[in-house]
Amino acid sequence: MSGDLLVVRDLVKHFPVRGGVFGRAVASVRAVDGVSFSIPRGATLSLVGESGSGKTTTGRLVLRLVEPTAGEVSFDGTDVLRADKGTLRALRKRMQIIFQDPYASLNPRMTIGGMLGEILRVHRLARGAAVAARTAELLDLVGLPGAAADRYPHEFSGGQRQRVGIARALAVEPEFIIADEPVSALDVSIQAQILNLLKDLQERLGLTYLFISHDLAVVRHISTHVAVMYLGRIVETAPAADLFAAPVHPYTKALLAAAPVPDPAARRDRVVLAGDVPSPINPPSGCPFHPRCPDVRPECSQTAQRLVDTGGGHRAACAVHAPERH
Amino acid sequence: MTDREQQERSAGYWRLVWRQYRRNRPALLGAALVLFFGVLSLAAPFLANDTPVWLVKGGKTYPLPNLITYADLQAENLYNNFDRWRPGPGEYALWPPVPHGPLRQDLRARLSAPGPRHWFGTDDRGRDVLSRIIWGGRISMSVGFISVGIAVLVGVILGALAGYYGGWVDAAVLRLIEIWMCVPSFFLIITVMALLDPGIMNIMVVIGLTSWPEVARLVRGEFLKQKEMDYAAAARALGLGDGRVIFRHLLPNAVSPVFVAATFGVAGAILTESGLSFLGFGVPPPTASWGEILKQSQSYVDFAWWLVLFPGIAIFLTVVAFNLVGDGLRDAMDPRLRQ
Amino acid sequence: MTQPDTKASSDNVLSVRGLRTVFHTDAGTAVAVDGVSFDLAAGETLALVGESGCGKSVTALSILRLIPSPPGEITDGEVLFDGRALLGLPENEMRRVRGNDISMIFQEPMTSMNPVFRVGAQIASVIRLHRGLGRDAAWAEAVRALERVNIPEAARRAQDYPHQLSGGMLQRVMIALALACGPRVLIADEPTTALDVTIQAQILSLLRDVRRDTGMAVLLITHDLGVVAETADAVAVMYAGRIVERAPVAELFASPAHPYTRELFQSLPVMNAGAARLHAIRGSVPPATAYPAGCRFHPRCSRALPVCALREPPAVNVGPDHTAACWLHCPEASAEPTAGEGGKGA
Repeated sequence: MSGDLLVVRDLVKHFPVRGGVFGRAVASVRAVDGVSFSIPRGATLSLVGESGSGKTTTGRLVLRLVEPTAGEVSFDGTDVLRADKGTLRALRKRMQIIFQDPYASLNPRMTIGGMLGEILRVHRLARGAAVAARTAELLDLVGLPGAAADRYPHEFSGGQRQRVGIARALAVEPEFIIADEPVSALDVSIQAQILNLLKDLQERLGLTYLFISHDLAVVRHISTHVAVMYLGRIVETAPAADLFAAPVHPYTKALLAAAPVPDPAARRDRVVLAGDVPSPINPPSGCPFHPRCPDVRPECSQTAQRLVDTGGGHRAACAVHAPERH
Repeated sequence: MTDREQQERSAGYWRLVWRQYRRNRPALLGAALVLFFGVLSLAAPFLANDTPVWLVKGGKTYPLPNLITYADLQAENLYNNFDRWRPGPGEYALWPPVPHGPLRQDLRARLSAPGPRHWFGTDDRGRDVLSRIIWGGRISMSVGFISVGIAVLVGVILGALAGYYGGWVDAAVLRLIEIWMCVPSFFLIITVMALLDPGIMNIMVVIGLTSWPEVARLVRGEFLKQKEMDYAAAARALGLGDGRVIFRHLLPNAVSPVFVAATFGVAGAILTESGLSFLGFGVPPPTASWGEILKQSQSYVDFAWWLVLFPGIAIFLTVVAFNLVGDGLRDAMDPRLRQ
Repeated sequence: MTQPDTKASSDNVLSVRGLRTVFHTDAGTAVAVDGVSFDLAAGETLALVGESGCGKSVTALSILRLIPSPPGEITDGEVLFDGRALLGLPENEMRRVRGNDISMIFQEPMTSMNPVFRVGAQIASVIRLHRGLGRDAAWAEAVRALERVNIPEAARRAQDYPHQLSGGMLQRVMIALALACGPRVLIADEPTTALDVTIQAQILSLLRDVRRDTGMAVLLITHDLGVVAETADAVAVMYAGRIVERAPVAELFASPAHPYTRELFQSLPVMNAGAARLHAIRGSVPPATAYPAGCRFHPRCSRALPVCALREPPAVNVGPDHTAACWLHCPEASAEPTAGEGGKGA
């Protein structure tokens, strides 16, 4: 669709598992196994899934922090995966990332001001005295005092560090930000502050987000669109309200049912999904969810399902609930 | 942040390390000893010399004749004979605490036991042992620091590149390290020294070049760990170049174990240098070196105990001091031990 | 000061009174747990809820006396297990309590088990220690313990090492390990936080089944109010080392009394709601070395009264078996409060 800021097509990433004396690849971890989506300008698409779903790897592939095995990523018309060094560097100013772990995502040996100043100088966004001024602006934008610039990461709490991470991403004035589980490591009350901040920034600066999370309640609050991932594939994607109101794929339903609801009256009427989250080294044949699926049919283990449109921008990959019409 | 936190001064990494280090008594003792030996070595020309530190003679003032060669004093052949010169009226000489130079021979006082004139006794050429120990300390300290400096420089660069790039760079460096470590270093050093001219520069370079593999392995290991951290990915995502990421971001976080290894390395280098001098492959005579004194002592060991004891104690104390500092640093840098 | 109603002490398998645990640090003495009191009845699940730094984990570790002794120290209070005082017990007797009468499971299953021993052996060793069975009998018991937690092919799984099992399986193994000697109390410290949501649901369901089958009491430490709603019978909310509210679970969710609890509920993103702006509690948690005077929450409270900055509020009854430590519920808020200790839950 034109007007989409980010278009991802058939993205694949297989990590080789090396073994034997010569380190040959004996198996591969199929972390991302054919993922396609697009994000319109100003929207927030959330990638939801459990461990092994490939959502974090997808985020890193989009930014080309990891080289993909196959596929296409197009940002505002520019091919990201085949860009040369110069184009990539220019792209890096427009696409940024916020990380999950507030404790590992900041260099412990640099002050906040040092870190932001370096970014501003390397990208020639400010020089000399302007650096300090812009640093103060950025800190103010994320709700931190100017004095924070002289301090080291370990002097801040998790929530404050996450704000620093957001300031860092904003320093290059990007249009698109990938938020990789930005609030998962934070307390509920801090989580609320950071989510509000992200939404405010989106409005003020016209940002587009790719939000990666496993927490459905958080996703509900921040997203305009949601894509559910399982074992490296997208099994369902829809506008946020639709997905939560009328999920189609059995995995989405199980995920929604499994999330604990803070309401004592709502308990003990849930379907608990059996079995373990599978490993992406040896994914099941056909539909990757079929071994745990309550609605499984014989054909589910035969062929892989493709995303089928069920109306209103809602697509699901399920032979049973969203069969392909021939 | 509360107001109180804002008022406290920002605590960088080294300040935290020092706070933790301060608690460790043995480590503080080690640091004090290292400082002591360091000052001793630096101040050797002022501590043990046969030339006075300040001279007023014949109406003229000569500052620091121990460092500066004055033409007229040289003409009077005083520089080798200051001990025979007595100040006349109006003349004055300020002597260092040990008024003997390390090379000054006094054959009448050969092999004398420690006494009021020679506090640590004399060797077989009548040279004052205390003076030779003080000046020998210079040799030991400079060999220690410079050889470790060379090892760290080479090791850090190779280790960083191997750890960051992986692939064939890593394979090549690893093979180099493995080859280097196959050969027992001390024998390698002796062999090389036997082929080269003896001299302190050669010793330092040779010891340095045989110790870099350990540093490289440490740095490589730390780099493998650090490059997976989110802040490294963030640096790359921000478009920072490889060089900047390696040297400005990853390296400061990867060098902590290098400091510890370096302190132990200095201790090892001092021991190696003493060993080399003892075997005759070290600094050539007559330069004073602790190992060299020990070498001499072999012929007189049955009665000249001062030739064995004092250099032995000097080596022992220095090595122990550096080991204590190394242990203290390692504990102080360990984030888990922080309270 | 109003004394909250307490159950008859013969019903309570665990009673904590005025527990106080501090840590001596560079930056001063951090009071992690400051006068915490609660009762756990047999067969009941009490959830201790709070955000990070509130002292809930330290409370759990203090009950079992697992606090590292420098720098930590239990300075006050008493812990009664079936009427028996635990804090004064000699260490060898305390060891007989741990794993046997009171068991604990932790947040990170991957690091809570010894990586060099097979999981079956680890369970068997606990059984042999506390129940004195022989090797083969203990192994059989261990396999049975694994079966009780629904591990498929238990006999084979018992031969596995921890790294060969997934997070969910390992958590089941930990639960099996904790239950192996039939404890009366299980302390579960964030047992599902590190797990995927579908696995979390399985573990919570398992815990419910185990409770039903054994009548064991559970002290559940968590920050997740959803888990609390699912699993708990009663809830105690902690903030800055103190219990600020205690109530049966339905009552707490229906009518939270303490401002902190109310604001916490308001800041939860909920799946059924629209994408509205979340309520964020302003400010941040005070450091354990420098608590504010008076009510510890007052600097962040949108309804603070003048007295809140001066004196700690007492625990007041606000409903059936429901207490909250807040001046807003104290009829004497404007009058001179009597001398007494600060807010505690029942």
